[in-house]
Amino acid sequence: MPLLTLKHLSLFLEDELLLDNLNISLNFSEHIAILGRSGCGKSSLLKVILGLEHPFRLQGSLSCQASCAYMAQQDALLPWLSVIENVNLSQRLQGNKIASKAWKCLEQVGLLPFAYKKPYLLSGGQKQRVALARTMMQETELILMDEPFSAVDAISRIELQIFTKKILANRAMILITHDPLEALRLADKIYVIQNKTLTPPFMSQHIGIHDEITPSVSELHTQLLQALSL
Amino acid sequence: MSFRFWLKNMLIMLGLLGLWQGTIILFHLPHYIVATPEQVGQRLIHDAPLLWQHTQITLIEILLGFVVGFLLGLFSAISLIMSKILASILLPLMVLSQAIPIFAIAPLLVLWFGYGLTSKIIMAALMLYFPVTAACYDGLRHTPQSWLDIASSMHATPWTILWKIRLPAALPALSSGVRIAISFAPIGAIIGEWVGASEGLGYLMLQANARMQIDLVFAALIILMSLSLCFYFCTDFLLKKLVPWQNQLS
Repeated sequence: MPLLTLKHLSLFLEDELLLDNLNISLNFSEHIAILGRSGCGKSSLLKVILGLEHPFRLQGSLSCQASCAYMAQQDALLPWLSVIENVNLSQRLQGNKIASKAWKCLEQVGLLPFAYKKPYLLSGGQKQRVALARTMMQETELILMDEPFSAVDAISRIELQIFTKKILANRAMILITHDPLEALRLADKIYVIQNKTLTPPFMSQHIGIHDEITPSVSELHTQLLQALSL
Repeated sequence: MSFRFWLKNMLIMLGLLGLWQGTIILFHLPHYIVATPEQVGQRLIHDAPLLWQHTQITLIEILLGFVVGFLLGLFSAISLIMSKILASILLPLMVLSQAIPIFAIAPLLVLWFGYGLTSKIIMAALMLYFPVTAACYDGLRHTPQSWLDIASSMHATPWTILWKIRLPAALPALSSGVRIAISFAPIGAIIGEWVGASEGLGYLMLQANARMQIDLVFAALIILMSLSLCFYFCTDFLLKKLVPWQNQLS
């Protein structure tokens, strides 16, 4: 049984059609990317899937069997908590103390020495790593990512993509992005939002971070760019 | 607080005192219109016990008015944010309450609550209630959406979100509420004392004014000013220590 199924799902904002006839079926530990230009309603879709408060009217069916963790565009770290407390946020909100897992997650992103620092003392890339550790901390089957690396510099982005790739084993992911290369690196299947609906999925070829970009990948990249610009 | 800081402020103070004395000499102002710095200084020393006795009363009024008004404001702001129905009833009431000039109802407060401390505390609390509520409500309303989304995605309840996200997030705004409150509270207390009181610095000023003891009026005024400044700087210092990320957020 798929973790997440969207069947003929349409999103309306008042009477305006935002996204039309979306069909997605996401299986366990499958990674998909939804690629779209800014302002096309990608983030809205993620909010709807997460079940967050949203202003949209839905048509069609959406069923999500999985527990979800969410990683946003901005790091969204709480400035009054230390780094380790931020990582532990999901436990903290349930009234629990810092779990040993929080330390492990922080170690995995390589920020153990910063555990007791306040987040505003970290660089943009480090903050996103803390956000990543916070996401890992939640033992969910599905991770929803909303352009998680768009606000960091190129090198940090690549590092973060490596980390993400590592933690994604055994978990399903939906990645929202406007960067075809990021989609190619992290996802198995790539949907492009075109004319308010999804194209049939492009199958990714799993390029690694340092891998050479082969002609076939390059062709796929071109295809994605073409699909995006339509 | 460097030496330069103190030196600069001392020079400003001396300048102001010089201006004060200079104006009196230049315009030949009689001592029953404007007291000289020297006369005021002597009053401050000789009448220290009297001034201290009245200062204590005003101090209690200010502090209690501050605490009551601030807590009421904070509580109202939380109620507004947590309940839409309550907000729809309370908000018009608050705007209405703001339309009543507090100064104008001071005599009524004295009539209803007597010449004692209560009417002054209520006066001070009323004075700061609305600005504090507005500041706190604003702060609570403007929690960054991404923080709320993250917390909701972790299945936090609305109360957990209020205590663990909204309130700490609003601390910088709450501290502006505190700053407003501490600068409004003395005004409320003094107005209350002017309208009807048997003790307090406001009462002392009225009495001294009627007896043409202008130096005593000035002495009370200087104590009031020092109190207000002291409150302001103490809260400012404390808040900077307690909310260190205040200036870090973009």
